[in-house]
Amino acid sequence: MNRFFEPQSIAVIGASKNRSKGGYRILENLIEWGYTGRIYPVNPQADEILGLKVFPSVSSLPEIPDLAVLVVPREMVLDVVEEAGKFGIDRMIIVANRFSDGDAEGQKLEESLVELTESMGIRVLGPNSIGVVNTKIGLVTSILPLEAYKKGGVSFIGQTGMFLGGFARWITSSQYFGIDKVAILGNKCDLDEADMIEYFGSEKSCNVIALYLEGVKDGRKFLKKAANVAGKKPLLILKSGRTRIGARATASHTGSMSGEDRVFDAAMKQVHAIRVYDFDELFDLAKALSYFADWPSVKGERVGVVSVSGAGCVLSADAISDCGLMLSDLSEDTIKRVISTYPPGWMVQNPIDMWSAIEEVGADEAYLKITQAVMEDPEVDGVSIIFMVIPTVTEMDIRRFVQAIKVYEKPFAICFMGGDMRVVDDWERIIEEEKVPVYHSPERAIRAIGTVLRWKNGKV
Amino acid sequence: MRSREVDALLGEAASGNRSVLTEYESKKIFAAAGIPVTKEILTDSIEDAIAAGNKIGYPVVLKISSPEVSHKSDFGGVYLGISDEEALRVACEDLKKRAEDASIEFSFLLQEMVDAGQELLVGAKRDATFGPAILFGLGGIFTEILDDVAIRISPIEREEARRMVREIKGAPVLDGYRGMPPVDLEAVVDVILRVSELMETYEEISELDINPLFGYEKSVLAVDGLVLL
Repeated sequence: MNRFFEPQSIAVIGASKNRSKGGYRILENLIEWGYTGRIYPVNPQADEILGLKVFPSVSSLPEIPDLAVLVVPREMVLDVVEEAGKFGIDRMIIVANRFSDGDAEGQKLEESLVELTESMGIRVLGPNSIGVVNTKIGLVTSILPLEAYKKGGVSFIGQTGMFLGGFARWITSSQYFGIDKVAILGNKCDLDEADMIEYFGSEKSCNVIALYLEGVKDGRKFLKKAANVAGKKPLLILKSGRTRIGARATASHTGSMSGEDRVFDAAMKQVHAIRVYDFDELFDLAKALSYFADWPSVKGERVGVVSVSGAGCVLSADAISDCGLMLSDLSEDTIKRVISTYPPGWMVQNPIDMWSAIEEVGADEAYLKITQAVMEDPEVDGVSIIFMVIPTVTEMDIRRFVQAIKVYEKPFAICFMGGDMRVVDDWERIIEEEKVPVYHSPERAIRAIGTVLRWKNGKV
Repeated sequence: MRSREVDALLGEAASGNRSVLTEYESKKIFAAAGIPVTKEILTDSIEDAIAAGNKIGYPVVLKISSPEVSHKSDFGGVYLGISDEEALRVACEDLKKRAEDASIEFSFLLQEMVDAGQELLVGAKRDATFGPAILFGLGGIFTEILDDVAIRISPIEREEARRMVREIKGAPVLDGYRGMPPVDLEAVVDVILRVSELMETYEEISELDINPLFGYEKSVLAVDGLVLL
């Protein structure tokens, strides 16, 4: 697997001068991302692309590259694989589609491809795969124009190309969490999700593995590999096609009550994978688990809520209950410290509605003192802090606040409910740069905190 | 380890092109796997049925046994609590007439009439992706209407089977609810583990159902069940 993800040299077979072609974009991406290895474009009709020397054929390459990316039409794939294989290349990413994902002829071609690569000892990612990313060495094989990912701990495994397509742009333009590696599986004629889980599981630089799957190729292998990672790294799984097979009439009760999705759900629980149901949830949980990966374990699932909004308090309490978490029962001492920021005669409890404290002592002092008191309470495992960024609150020094709260190393999230989005966008960047997750609804914040707490107390 | 008896039962069904085994055959397989089942005798004539009833001891249960009837109650082929030889003869005559009217091949299945226990369900289904999935639930409305079941992929370890039993929402019922005696949970766990072994050993079994499994204070008993190829 090392040569797929840490190749010293790559051949791009089917490199192109045409800026709209995938064979051009891969080269452009590799240069843009600062790939640290050697790049060998192969194309019989060109001599230079993007300043790189082009080789007319695989056999004219000056060395055997660790990895080849095949950007040729499906009709040419088998011949190119054979030629490259004979030259000694034994790791290939095959981009062309319409194999088993296409017509009957494609199906046959894929069978021949498997036969050929197996007989030559070649390992394949794809076909129908836009390949891999490794941010550590600037490796990217996507045929779509991509901005470089920030380095970090999240690794993605995708059945389809979205982590190197639309979502890649979304991440680079709006998200702050970093990425370690990406693998796009495509048709999985050889390497599959289980192989990737095993490899990412063994990579120190990766602290969260997030998968998008449409199906599992080999369930037994998957469970075995996932069980090895269970408890060491969080495994987030989004699987589509949940409702494809409705209940069908069967002779046994068991048959009708163990539909495909229920069995999948049971299988995921058995290997302690975290199942999510949409991409928002996948990214919400991935960043929180990654940011807090190195923080200490927690005792329970007791959540404190500090909120400028009464609605935020109640919605958070509901979400805590829905997620099966507990509201922290704050100690008398904590309550005393909290009400010292309020006008005389106030009573508070968790969730803490802090509006009156802000009026009394100002946002900076109210947020800091109250959140510190909550963080120091031994009955608190994690905290959700809700902001409504309106004048007076906008004057806060948000970076100083977040830094002061981080020292407790208890997982927490910042939630923005409405507010001045010009300030919120700025604050979100500042907070996330401090590796604290930001959400825009109390429910999503609680769900993320709850998942981190469960991960950190061994209940996932 | 495959058993010759189970091989023979599965082989016979397969060679007869039957995908659903009869209750009698299914329970033979369960018994061979070490799962306690009701005492029962299969006969082809009324006279033999009466001899079997006398041997088992009254009250007895008479059921139709036929590859063509998988829902015996719906067919009207189940006679519970038969108290003596006379009543058994009447029941046998009735069963014979129903079967002949429907022109199906059949046998008489005589079973001991057991005390009602807590209704449980243990089942298994071979999933195309993950292999055998093992299911546990309370029987009756708990599974059918409330959908309250625990599922695991085999092979299952004892600890995992224990967690499975505790996982269902109706678990408090197993501890003895409103004066009911508690259920022998280790015996339930044994059944789950044996079902898991059956599915691991016999790849030709696609689905099986022990429904109901009666749970008692110190034992369990498979009262009805099905094996599908």
